Amino acid sequence: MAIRSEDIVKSLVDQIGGFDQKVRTSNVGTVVEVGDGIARIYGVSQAMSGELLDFGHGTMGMALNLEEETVGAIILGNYQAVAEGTEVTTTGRIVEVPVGDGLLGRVVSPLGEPLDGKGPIVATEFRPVEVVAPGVIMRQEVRTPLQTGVKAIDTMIPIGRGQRELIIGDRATGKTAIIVDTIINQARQKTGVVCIYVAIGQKEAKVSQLVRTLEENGALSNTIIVVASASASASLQYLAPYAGCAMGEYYRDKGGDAFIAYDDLTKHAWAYRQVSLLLKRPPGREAYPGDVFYCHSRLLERAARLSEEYGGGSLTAFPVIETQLGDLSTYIPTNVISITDGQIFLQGDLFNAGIRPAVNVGLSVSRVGGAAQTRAMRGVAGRLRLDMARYRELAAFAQFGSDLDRATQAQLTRGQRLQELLKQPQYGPMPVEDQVIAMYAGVAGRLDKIDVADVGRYERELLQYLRSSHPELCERVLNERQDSTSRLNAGLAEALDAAFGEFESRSWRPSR
Amino acid sequence: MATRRSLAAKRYAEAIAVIAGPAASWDAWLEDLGIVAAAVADPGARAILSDPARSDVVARFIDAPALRAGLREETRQLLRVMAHRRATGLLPDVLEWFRELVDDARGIRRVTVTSAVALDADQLRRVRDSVAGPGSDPAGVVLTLDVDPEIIGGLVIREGDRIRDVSVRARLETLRERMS
Repeated sequence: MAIRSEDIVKSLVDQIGGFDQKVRTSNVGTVVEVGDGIARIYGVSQAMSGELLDFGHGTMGMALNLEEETVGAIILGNYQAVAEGTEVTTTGRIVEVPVGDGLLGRVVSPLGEPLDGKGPIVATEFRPVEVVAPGVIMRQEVRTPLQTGVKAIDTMIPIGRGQRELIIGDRATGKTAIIVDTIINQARQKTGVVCIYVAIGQKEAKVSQLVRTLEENGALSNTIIVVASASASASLQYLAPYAGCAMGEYYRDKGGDAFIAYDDLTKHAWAYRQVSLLLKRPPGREAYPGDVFYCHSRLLERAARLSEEYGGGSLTAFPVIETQLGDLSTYIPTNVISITDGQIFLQGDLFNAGIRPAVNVGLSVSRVGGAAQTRAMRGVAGRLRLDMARYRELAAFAQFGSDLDRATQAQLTRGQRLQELLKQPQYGPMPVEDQVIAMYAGVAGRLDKIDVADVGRYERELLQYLRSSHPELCERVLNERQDSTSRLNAGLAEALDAAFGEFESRSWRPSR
Repeated sequence: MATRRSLAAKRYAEAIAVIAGPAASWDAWLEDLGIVAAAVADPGARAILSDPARSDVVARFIDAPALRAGLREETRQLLRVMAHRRATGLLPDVLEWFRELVDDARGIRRVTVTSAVALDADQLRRVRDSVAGPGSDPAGVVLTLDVDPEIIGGLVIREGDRIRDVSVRARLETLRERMS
């Protein structure tokens, strides 16, 4: 597009015309102490908490500790240029980041600076990183599902838009994989949910791998990636989730839907602990500052579903917590568990036993998402949850005895097949109608006669068959409206049963 | 330029102000503290005074005949307390803080005005009036003048850590920020 000279002149006239500020009032101080990304400033007596401070030469800081004579500030970005005696001025602004569609498909720092070499960020709007979460009046309950595309989650731990669901587990148990699948699913299903991935204290290589995966799966153009890697200063790591949240809030407040993953808040708590100790705030349990709970709760409270008067937008948050040896009862995990609306617990044992995603469905809960499940899904999920719970109970006992009655045997057979059915390869999110059909086949006992090793193939071929010969059934599952919430509509169940029978007689060949 | 001063010194200064206020002995205190601070400014004296291990030396020094004649009893009492608490190193800071408190009590405001060219008497009077603001006495404003051609035009008015920048340079900078 050619830029017309009139447009340039008009823009200049606007900018100069609005330029009526004659007095620039500021507050100055001098750096008396600097190190580790922290500066202590004498003066700046009018500084506000969280205010952006100008250290000169393009270096900015954020006032955190307001004391009688000095201000403790974190330096954002490069602090090599800041020395003792450097003059600091207040700016009257709170730390802001660019927001909007210009960020989609980009990798940015917590200050909104591009990190991907794709040129400057075109942003029309800026938002403060720290804002107060929406109040009671502005919210409504969660009732629209956010499909992750992961069978084990969408069926048994359903997530609603506006929910905060914790992903918790040891290292290398597939926490990030669930987030990546969710992001890919939004792109594949064209749900219109904008995704934001905030990497805190992670290896740059891992982030670059993730960017490539999203790109290969066509999901990057719908995603904003905010990175404060392990080599970034603690101040930037501390700021990253708030910056990402501001970018998500832009969509939430516009009436859109956004999804944000904080990967991970354990490292965020470490960064905040470092900053706090350097600022000489008193240490508490495990040397974390006293307000580490508030630091996370005020962040996660910003995920919300707004009421219709406020546009009805939503921001769904997936905070991630890394545990040590599966211990959920340490300080930061218990904090975040108590803030969120449920947790997805990933277990190393399950992962190693080949159950992937390694979701421990017994310890995982979703406190609000049930209301958001689609009707058809709710119809099969109730049975599934019950069957799986019975299976877990029996499986523990069955290891000891070999003489089992017929009913117990049947329960174990069902459970093994359902567990097999819940396995899913990475980067393979599944549409919700496929999930319902597959799960219905499981809970209706269609798999009981099939060898466990054949379950995956049965599922694949069944879905393929139904898609080609009965596309209307998939459509019907998707748009199901029924009164009973605990059972699948009898008519639909019948139709599915008939279709399954048809598939089994015409196309299914067991391997043994 | 404000430099960092000890907060402990501020507490001593505040205590002196409480004593000096009702007795209206501001000037006497200022004079005494000036003498003591000047003595402390001497590197040799400072080394002794700021060394907590040698506070006994300080105590004897306070009772020396020369000081007995020069300083009022109240000031020597202050020095005794400070020596006892090993805080004599704070004396220069105490003087600084005390000066500020005296200025506050007397309604004196110290303002630095920077202009691109030297101001004439009439301009100076107008600057003083506008800095004092309506309804307050311009005589309470103590101006320090500074000339800096780099601000191009207008004025930069600095009072404590607050700056009101009405210079052409600041306006150009604001314009540049808006347009970038």
